[in-house]
Amino acid sequence: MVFLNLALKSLKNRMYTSLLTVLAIALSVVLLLAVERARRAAEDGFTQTISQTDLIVGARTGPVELILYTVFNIGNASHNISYTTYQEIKKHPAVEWTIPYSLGDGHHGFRVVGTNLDFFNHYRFRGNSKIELAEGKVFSGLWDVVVGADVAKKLKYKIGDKIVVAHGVTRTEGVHKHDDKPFTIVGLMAATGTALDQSLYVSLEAIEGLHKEPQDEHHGEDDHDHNHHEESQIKIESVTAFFLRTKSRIETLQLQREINTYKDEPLLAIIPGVTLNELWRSLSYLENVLKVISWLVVGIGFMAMLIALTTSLNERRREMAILRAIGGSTQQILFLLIFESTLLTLSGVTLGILVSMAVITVMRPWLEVEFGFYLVGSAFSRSEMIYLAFILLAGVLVGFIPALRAQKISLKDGLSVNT
Amino acid sequence: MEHLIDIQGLKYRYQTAQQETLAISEFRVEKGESIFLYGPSGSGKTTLLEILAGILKPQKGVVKILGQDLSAKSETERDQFRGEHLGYIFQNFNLIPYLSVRENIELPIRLSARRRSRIDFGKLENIISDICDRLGILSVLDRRVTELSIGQQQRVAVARALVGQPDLILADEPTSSLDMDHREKFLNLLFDLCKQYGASLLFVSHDRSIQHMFSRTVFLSDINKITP
Ligand SMILES: Nc1ncnc2c1ncn2[C@@H]1O[C@H](COP(=O)(O)OP(=O)(O)OP(=O)(O)O)[C@@H](O)[C@H]1O
Ligand SMILES: [Mg+2]
Repeated sequence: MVFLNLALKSLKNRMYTSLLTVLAIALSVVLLLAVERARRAAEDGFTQTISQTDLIVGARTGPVELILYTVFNIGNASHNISYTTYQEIKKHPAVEWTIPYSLGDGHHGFRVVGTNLDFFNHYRFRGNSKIELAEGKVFSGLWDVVVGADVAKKLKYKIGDKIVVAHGVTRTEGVHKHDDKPFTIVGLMAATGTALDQSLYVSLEAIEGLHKEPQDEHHGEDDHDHNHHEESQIKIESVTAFFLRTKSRIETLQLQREINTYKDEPLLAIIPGVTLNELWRSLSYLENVLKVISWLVVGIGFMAMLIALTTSLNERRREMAILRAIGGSTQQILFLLIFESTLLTLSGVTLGILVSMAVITVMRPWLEVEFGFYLVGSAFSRSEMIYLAFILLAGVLVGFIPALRAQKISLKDGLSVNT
Repeated sequence: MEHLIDIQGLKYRYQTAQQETLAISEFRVEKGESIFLYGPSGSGKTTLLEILAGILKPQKGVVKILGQDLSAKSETERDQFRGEHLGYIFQNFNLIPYLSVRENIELPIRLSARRRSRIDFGKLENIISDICDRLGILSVLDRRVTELSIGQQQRVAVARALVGQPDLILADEPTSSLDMDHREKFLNLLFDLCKQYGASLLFVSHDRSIQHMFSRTVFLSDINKITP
């Protein structure tokens, strides 16, 4: 108890430097936690871009290509799969549900995706989040379109707006504009923080119709009216890919094997979680950069602490000498100094945790709305606990440096310091 | 009989100094004595006290206190010995500025288990109030030492040296900042307390007007035979 009293009073006596030291440590803890949290959110956000889907099926290509063009709106499919095949697999007894996914058209740099109502019913991301409509309703007619949150925001769309859909993804590629096919916006999707926000959604029939149109052109100019393609008239011939959920996870692998060896056409079925993890790991240098930065920050925090402790030790040579002169042992002084640095680290870490929790609470809604950056998962993961424990340990060890130096100062020199 | 202090062939030279500060071939003090040690400024009085307290280690000679050879002890052992047996009143008090008067006085007891065992720890409060009452600092017990006058600080240093009933009090000019009247009163009190606690006293001063109160007077230059 005498040490606690001595340490506290001595720290209070050097309030300013003590506070700065605690702040330096707290700041590095806040940064470390923030970087770690961001890293985890990025990873989770990435690997949970799609959830509950057991298999993604497309024409045979690489697994990464398949996931990129279905989940991340990057790249294009080289082939489609026939609608018959899709129907065939859909009927497989192991299948619980499917979501067809037809890609290809672009709209001011955003993608137009053809799907059906299963998309709104079954698609899940970040665990159990489903697609919500901020306004309006899902598409029902051929010329209905539902737009993602980013699309609506960027292009300032509202319900009832008429828009035109073109081939290709980018504006420069949009050479064959379907100017004559104005779609009507019937629904605005709520932000999901995923690539879903950057697409427009229409029915499969609409996509099929748009593709067909060049062949229809020989029918003559006067034929061009909205009733030209009635839903019933359009026969869907293909889809780009589809998402699939099996009735039990055990059947997933079996079904994947069956699809990959499908005899009528070359198909590829991937487990999205596995591919996403692989993809994330291939981006791990990004993660490592973040880690290196946060450790540098912590290192600087400890340098600050070391400097603060060492300078204060210089000021305190006399104090230490007095303690020894009246019967304190060198071990007691060593203990006292380490006790102080432990106390400083402990307060710094605690303050850092509190501040970062406060910051996250305050910033969370803003991050979600502005950046689609979702801080999912628990507040403190195991790795964060390990980091904090490591910081505490390092703080104690840093205390040893001035403490051991203090042992070398002779008693007489310490007593002769004029203060 | 065992001597309280027994110095034989002591030589001490500061590392940076050209020549020795102390060269004492023989000096003894018996238990119960009160010694008045005087000498001009810079003659080595403080140096001698610090050697006796084990703060400085002589290059040559044997320094025994209570029969124990300090010069044969390690630094840690000397720290321990000082904590257990000695009460040092420093020339510049050496109080811890951020602690209260009470905390300063308690510190030797709290730091050294051996010193603690010399008293009835449960009665520490009483012991401290008793000493402080007699030294006239009872009313300032809970103030910070930096808020005291120099004379009061000096008395806190005395109280700190006395608590724990040390065998030997080494006092380095503790009366320097007291006026004539208070000096005598203070000394009488110091003698009383030493008697009560059974402590011997080695008292350094260059004020010879008080030497008659001590059982023996020693002129440092008489025992210190430095040969340049
Ligand atoms: N740390 C030191 N290093 C070198 N020389 C020192 C040191 N401390 C004291 N001295 C020298 O040793 C000599 C004795 O010093 P000391 O402090 O023992 O004198 P003193 O008799 O106590 O004097 P005063 O009456 O002024 O307190 C002096 O000449 C002093 O300059
Ligand atoms: Mg002196």
